[in-house]
Amino acid sequence: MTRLYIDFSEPTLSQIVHRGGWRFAMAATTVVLILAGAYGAIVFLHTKTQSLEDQLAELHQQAMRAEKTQRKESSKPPAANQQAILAMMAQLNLPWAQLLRTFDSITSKQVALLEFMPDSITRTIKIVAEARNSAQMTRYLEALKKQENLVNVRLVHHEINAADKLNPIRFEFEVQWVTGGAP
Amino acid sequence: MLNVSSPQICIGITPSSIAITRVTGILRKSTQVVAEKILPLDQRGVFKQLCDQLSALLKDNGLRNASAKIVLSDALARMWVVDPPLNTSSLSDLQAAAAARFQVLYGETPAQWMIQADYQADRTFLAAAMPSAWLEAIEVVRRDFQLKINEIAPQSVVAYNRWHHLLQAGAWLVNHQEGKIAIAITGGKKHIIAYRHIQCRPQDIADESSFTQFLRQQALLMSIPLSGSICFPNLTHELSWLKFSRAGQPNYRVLQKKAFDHLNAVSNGVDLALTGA
Repeated sequence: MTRLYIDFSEPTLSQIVHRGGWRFAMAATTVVLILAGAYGAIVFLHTKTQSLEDQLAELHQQAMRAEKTQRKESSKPPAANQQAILAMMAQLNLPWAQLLRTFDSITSKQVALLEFMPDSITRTIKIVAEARNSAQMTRYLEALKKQENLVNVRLVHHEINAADKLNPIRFEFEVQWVTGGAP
Repeated sequence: MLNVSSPQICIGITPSSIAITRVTGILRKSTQVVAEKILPLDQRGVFKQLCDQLSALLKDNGLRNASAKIVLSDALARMWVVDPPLNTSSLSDLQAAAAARFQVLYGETPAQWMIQADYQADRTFLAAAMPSAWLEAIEVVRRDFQLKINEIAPQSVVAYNRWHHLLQAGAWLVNHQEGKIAIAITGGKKHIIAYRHIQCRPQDIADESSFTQFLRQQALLMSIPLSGSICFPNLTHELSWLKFSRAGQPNYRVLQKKAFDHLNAVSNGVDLALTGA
């Protein structure tokens, strides 16, 4: 059974409070608590969102900085790498065709080239070769000296190869090349 | 808003008298009769006169800005029960049914009346009406004294709202006011299924047996059995024999608070004011 809702007075807030009594107080408290909770939740979420946004912005900036640094670093290779790259480039840029043509023109059957070690930085070629005898060796070195694109022909070492039954002379010499000619 | 500092008063208005009680205390409430005014015979039943007397009482007792509840004698209102139409689909259908029933019962249109009802679509409900002019007169008093009016209702409604938790299913809630008896009859689910406001002679209420006989006649007229539980909101002078009534068939019970016992049997106006206190 419930109360009769018969009342000739104008409905006012005071009336609701008067009739409701503790129910109104509880309802009001509940509403206040709900509103406070909702406000707290909104503030918490707002703060959390703000914090996450800040973190995101910070991470974004860090990423941007890292990317910029990386771009800078990648555009400028380290010194060691740079040296290696330069060395490799120089090695690739050797005037191979010209040198080979030069050596082909003076090499006879009496002299055999065993090692051919060019150094692009000093423009020096270290060569190990074998000749039938010392006269052949000398003649070969003289012929080299006459070449226009070869200078500073220097005999470094020579010995008789006793392991070979023909006893050839194994000799090592250095020569520098000069650029300018057609490859 | 709830203003704890403003006095809480209850105003009882009968056709011939006005009484004001004041409630003090928050946890342990106590009620005192502040003022009572019996109108001269020539002014009785004139609502404007009643409101003028009310203004005078409020002024004499310095009751401005009070939080007030107004309990009207059932004689100052019209009350009836309405059976909701079977094809009810909205509140306006119930309002129309209440208005139509008013017209059938009282033979006039409700244009000049304010109808309030406990609208129910699935069971019989109680409706009440007051002349709009009277409500306007109360509004003038309210404005003059800055009253915060919490309720304006007939005594049977106020008494039912106050005591329904003590009523047994099928109990009768009975008020006696100035030669008239109001009977609110509750059904199996304790809601009001019938209401009667009838004239009674002094000998009908003179003692317990006469009153029982009177109620038995009313039950016969309504074709229902007399309830075993007859409840009264307060103890009035005319029914002072209730104090000595013993549990019997029917069982008479006065529902008034123990706190009012010191007031003993009260006048009709105070009876109303206490009902709302």
